[in-house]
Amino acid sequence: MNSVDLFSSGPAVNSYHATILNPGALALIQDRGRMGSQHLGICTSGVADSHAAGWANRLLGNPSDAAVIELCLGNFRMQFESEGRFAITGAELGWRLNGKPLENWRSYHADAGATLEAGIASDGLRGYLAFSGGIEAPLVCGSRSTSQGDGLGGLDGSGKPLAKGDGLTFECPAVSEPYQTAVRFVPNQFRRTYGTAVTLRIVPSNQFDTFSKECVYRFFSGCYTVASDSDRMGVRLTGDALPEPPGNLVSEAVSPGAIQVPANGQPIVLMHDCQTIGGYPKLGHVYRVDLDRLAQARPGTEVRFVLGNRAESQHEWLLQSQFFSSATQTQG
Amino acid sequence: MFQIVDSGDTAITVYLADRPSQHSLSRVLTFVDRLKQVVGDTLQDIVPSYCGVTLYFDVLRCDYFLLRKKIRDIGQALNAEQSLFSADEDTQIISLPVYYGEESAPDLARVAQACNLTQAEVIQLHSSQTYCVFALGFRPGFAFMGDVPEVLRVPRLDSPRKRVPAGSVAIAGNQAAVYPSASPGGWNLIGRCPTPLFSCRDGQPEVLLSVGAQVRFEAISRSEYIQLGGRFDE
Repeated sequence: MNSVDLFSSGPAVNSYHATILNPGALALIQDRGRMGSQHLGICTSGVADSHAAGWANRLLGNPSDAAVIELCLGNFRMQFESEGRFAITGAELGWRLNGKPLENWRSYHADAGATLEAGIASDGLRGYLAFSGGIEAPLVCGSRSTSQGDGLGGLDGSGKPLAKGDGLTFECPAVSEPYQTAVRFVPNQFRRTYGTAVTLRIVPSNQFDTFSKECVYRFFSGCYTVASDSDRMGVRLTGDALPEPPGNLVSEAVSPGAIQVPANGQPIVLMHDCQTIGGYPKLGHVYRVDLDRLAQARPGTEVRFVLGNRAESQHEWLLQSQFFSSATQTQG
Repeated sequence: MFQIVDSGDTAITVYLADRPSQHSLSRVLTFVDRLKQVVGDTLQDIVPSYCGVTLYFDVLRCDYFLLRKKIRDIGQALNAEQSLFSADEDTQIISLPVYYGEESAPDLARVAQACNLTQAEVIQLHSSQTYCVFALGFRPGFAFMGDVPEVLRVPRLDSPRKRVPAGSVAIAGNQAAVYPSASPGGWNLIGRCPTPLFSCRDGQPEVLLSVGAQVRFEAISRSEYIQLGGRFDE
């Protein structure tokens, strides 16, 4: 039945397996997101921190749209059923392979039977775990990203987070020489630590002009705190309430990064699982590259905003997107 | 009205009307149609809503300033035009069966009381109107429809339900909808529709309603509801 494909031009591909022993607080399969279905009411989802996830794939020579595991807070454990290569980036989770501590922002080789585990995040909120070849999962509207709210994506396509006993399959292509070496690492200048304060740059957008001067002044001079009920739908901020924000508007499209200000004057920054339309006035959008920083902000983190502009935001996002999408070309 | 505004670094929103109406809907539909013809292949997504359209683009594949120029050109042509996309002529009316029975309509009695009507009158009013889909959002396939007959306009619940069953037929203010899947929700539930509004087979989404679609609700009996695949077990 399974004859060898003599005419295949690609490298030999084998399937590799692993089993989840403990998913921890929340382990989700994510890729770059489900673009192009927002007009149907389907949210984009996708990795919350595209910088850390981008590096995890790049360390392994994976395509930039390969699916990775996003771990919120950590406390994760899995076992390799066959040998494999993996990379760890993002939040500091105290990773261990067979009990031996691993350094973050690196790729490693695991033997069959090896146990990989992560502790509780000591810096940042979301850690990323990528496997050589990417995680296999059905493409739903062009993406493997898990959307719990929409019930789409993930291991079986129904939007469920990873659970104990789930089996992972990943392809481990016969990669070119540089990726076979034991350990590749992210150069120091590109590694991030996340700390307890973050400054986000803002593109003034949509209803910016309808906010009073007093509102805008207070927004950019104030200091907010990430509330504990923040999640992948939105980061809620508490602090000095903005005085008399403009009232609700006729619902219009919203996307990750939008800063909504409801009547109580406490801003909400929409994240990757946000609804596709909404009726709260928007003061601006967080720079796409800065959204990666917000994705790592733990509850209690101090948030400040500075006024930026569309051109700078677009330029930095372009550079970051180009950087991570060019990684695959070296694979030839 | 024609106003182009940034929505962050990878989206542009175009405002086409001040308030929702048949006119705004026509302008939105015509604008979306032109966009698809002129720049459709360079965009990631086009999301229409009540008074405007939001375009999502990929900075790696799209020239921002060229896109803005093309949007301006489309807008100028649109403003100069007399005949717009007319919803009533070429759109087929989609009929959605609704079982208004007590077990599927937890808010019907309260709505009737609030409107000073009998339950039969509420059902009659709800199913005698032709509704237009103004926007999709909230959940996959969730269509915001209008307008609800004036006497039937009741506010949403003070605190939303944690779980509204799939297929629930709901009203709030001048808006009507059917919940495509079970989800939290704060609208008044007055019936249940057995027709699937959203499904995803082999990774491809199937959505019954789109912006501009016209809908009528049609009362059915309990046995018809079950025959059409309707369920009570969730």
